[in-house]
Amino acid sequence: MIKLAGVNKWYQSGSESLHVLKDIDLNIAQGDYLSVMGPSGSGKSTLLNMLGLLDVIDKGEYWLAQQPTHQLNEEQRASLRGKKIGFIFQSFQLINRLSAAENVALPLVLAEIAPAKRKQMVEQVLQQVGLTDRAQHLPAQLSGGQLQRVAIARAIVMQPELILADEPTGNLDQHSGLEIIELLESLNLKGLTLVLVTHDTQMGQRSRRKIKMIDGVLSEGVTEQANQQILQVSEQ
Amino acid sequence: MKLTDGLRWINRAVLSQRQRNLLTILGFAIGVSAVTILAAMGDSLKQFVLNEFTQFGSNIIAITPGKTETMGNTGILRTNRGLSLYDAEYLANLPHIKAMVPVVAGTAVVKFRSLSRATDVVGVGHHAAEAWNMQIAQGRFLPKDDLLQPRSFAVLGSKLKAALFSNKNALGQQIHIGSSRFRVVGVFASKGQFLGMDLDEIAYIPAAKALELFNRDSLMEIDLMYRANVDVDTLLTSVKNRLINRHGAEDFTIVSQDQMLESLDDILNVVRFAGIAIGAISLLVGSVGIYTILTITLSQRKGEVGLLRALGMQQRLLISLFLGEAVFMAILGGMAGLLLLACIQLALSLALPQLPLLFTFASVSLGLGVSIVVGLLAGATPAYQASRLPPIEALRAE
Amino acid sequence: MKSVDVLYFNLQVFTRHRWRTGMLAFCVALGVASVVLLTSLGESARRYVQREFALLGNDLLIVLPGKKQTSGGGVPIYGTSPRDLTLADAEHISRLAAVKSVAPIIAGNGAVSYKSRNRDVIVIGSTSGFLQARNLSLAMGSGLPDDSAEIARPVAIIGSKLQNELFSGQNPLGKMLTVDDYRYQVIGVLAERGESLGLDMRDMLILPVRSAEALFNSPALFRILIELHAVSDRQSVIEQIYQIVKQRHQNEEDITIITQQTVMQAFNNILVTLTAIIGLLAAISLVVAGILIMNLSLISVQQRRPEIGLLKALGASHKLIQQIFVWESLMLVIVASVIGLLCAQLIIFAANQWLPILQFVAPIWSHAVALGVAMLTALVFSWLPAKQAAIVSPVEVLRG
Repeated sequence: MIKLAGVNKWYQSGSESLHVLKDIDLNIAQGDYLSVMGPSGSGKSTLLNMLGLLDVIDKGEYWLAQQPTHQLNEEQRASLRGKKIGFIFQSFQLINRLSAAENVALPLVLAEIAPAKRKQMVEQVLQQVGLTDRAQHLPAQLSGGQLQRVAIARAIVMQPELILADEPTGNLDQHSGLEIIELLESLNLKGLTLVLVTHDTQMGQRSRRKIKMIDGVLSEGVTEQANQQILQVSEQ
Repeated sequence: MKLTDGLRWINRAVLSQRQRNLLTILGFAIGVSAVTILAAMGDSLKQFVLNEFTQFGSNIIAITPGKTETMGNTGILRTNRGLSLYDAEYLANLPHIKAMVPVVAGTAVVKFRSLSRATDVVGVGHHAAEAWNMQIAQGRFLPKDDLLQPRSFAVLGSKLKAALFSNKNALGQQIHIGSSRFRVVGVFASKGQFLGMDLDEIAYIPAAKALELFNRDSLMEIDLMYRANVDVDTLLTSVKNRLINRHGAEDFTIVSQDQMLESLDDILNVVRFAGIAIGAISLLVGSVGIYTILTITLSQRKGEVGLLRALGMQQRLLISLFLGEAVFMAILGGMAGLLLLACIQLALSLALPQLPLLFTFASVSLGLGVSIVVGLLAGATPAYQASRLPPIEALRAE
Repeated sequence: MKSVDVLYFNLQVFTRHRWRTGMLAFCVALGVASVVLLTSLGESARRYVQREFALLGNDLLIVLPGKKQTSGGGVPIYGTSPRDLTLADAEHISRLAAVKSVAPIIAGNGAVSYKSRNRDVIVIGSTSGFLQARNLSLAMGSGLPDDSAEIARPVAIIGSKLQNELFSGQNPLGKMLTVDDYRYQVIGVLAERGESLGLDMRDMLILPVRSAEALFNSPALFRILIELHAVSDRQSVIEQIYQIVKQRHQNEEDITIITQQTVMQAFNNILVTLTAIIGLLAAISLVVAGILIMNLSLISVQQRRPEIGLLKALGASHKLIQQIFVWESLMLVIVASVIGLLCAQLIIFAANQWLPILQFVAPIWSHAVALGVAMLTALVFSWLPAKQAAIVSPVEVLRG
């Protein structure tokens, strides 16, 4: 579903030109579950931004669902983002003046979906993340874990094909963090492609595919442990 | 805190938020210029009108036939109880009266050989030029003749002379006014306009001749010039009483130039005030702008406030500093507004040189004064509110 | 985003920042209200003058004795010339086919007395056509006799104020007045009319023109008012009148004819210019308000950078972000303008109640102009903030 071929990216920092992504090749199939790990400055967030069409690649190709995205302009990328990609951020990024339900509805509003249908879709995803009784609460009234669940609801409300999570548990305590990861994994089992950036090795170990970014270079490995977990769940 | 440190602090604070403060100052500047320009224009208009009227000299009393309740000269109208030349002669000899000018006016055709011009013709006395501050360019003014039986002399306005004689000499020439002959004895220097009337197009002849020309018995007006340091009110009453005695009734109107200027002044003050009021609207909006921005900025600087308080700054000093920022911005705005004013003044003076000065000491003081006051008012509340926040809350807010 | 959603989105922003929104709305409302009020002042004055002129009838010509050929042009205001304009001249003019009626006017000053009371008033000598031409009506009694231009009947019509001063409530009809030693019988009283373009009709005495001629011992007319039938070529009638008088005055064209129209036009132009100027001056306040809009919007964009980045990440386009911010200012300005317009209307209404003679009116165009300028201000001054918002890069703001 996703194909990165020979992707390169340079950043201008003062008078220097930093080579942040170096000849990245990556294939991601539908339903894959990847973790991307690496030291800070390794380019993992940049990689995520590329995948999310938030930034443009300087050299190479990025194919998303058989579409070549490296030639799209900003407007086209925005449109594609809204339809196919869901984001989850470390700092949740909810709008403080809107309620949980209204935050979740934002992508639907952007897509000009009718109010009645919106309501239905929002209720559905809130149920999925288990926040139906908090729908009218403002962000100030929710805990960290709840906030991230709202963010997840928002990320999936448009039924995207790909979810990109950038350190989703970074601002959460151990317990809430685990809840969030389990929620994301359950969504993945339903067919959502999940790419997770994290520096928490425990979290990183759970994914089926493990990507390492060091100094802009990508490398990959897989663990037995993750494979077994999946087998266990599917047998139940 | 030392004064210089305080000023430096204020300076840095204002300059740091450049874009925001620039806009605030700009808005205020426009408001200040609006008020200042309109006030200055009002002043100039007053001055202009006063000049128009006082160009004929001061210390004048004017008497017109008929008693009118309202201001408005009815000398033009017919009357049976008018002012005669005898009245004029009598009044001229009253104590404290320096000079007397009888006035009667109309329109007639002034002809010289084949050229003619239909224009205003005014009958006056020999004191007219001196009393009305008019300069003779060639020849002389009408001589001191018998009021009732003068010689047929005429003095021409500069434009009239040019129309009939172009560059040739006019003195000594015979002209016709109506069907009578007159000899030109003088030409006036250019005097300009008075309330739209072109004074340079007028022909001046002796009053008695004018009465003949226009078939009238009564003068339209008698102007009396009185000596300086005479109390005009007492003089007014005395002249009035004597004339009442002479006529048997108060069938005339007597008014001093001061009285007339006073009524004019009242009207012009209203105009000036209206102008300022209009400008004040823009000023008000600009001031609200300062107030709003200051409040928002200060609420965003809670952390800074908390820090200063934690460092031990007194509330009073805190208020002064923030108030100082407000006043500084307001003054910058005021100066910018005055600069704008100066530029407009420059542009206008190139285009319309006769327009009076906008950029005067009065307008500058008004502009700056208003700025300081608004700065204080607009800055007081936000500054005070900022200073009242308990330090711990302020620090936490960030 | 659908328009309705954009509006609702911005509404939530306003609710969150009530004080800020309120201050801005106040400024805009103030600006709009002052533009409307000031232009309505000018417009009301203009209509007042127009009404006054309309009352005088449209097809009125005014003949003045004297003519000026000076470079500045100008009207011979003195009404005095070597050769008199006479009743005979007026009579000849009245013979023209296009002329409906002619009202010759002698104007003077006289001391009127009744028993022990007296008063100085303006005395007008004219014919029956005068009341018609000036659109005056009688409160009681009759108008001037039809032979006013032939016979010097000792009769007079008085104004309402003169009636009060001399007769204080008594019926004046039939009583004898003395004017400068001449006696006249009161045959009519003018209806309360007040000032009519400079002449106070209440404080006036009107005599038959021949009587006035005798009173002032002079046949010289002050003016001649000429009422025309509806004609297609007024200019040729004017030419004809000039010719008639010229022939009668030894080939000298020593009169000036002005039309009601030109005088009215002159006033009209002055007042229109004045209205435009004060409207413009008031509109400066809207520019100042616009600067405040820009300032506040820029601050707002600055504060909402994370939100903007998020919206972009969610798929909002460059254009949509701009639209949202421009609409924010536009919405605010429209609502504030409407409030301002309503306030202006209220003030005008109150003023009209308090001083009914003034009759202020706020023309529709002034509302439209004020609203239009306000909206234009919103568009112009929200352009930069909207642009700044649109270029916020999601990548920069979403980190952490």
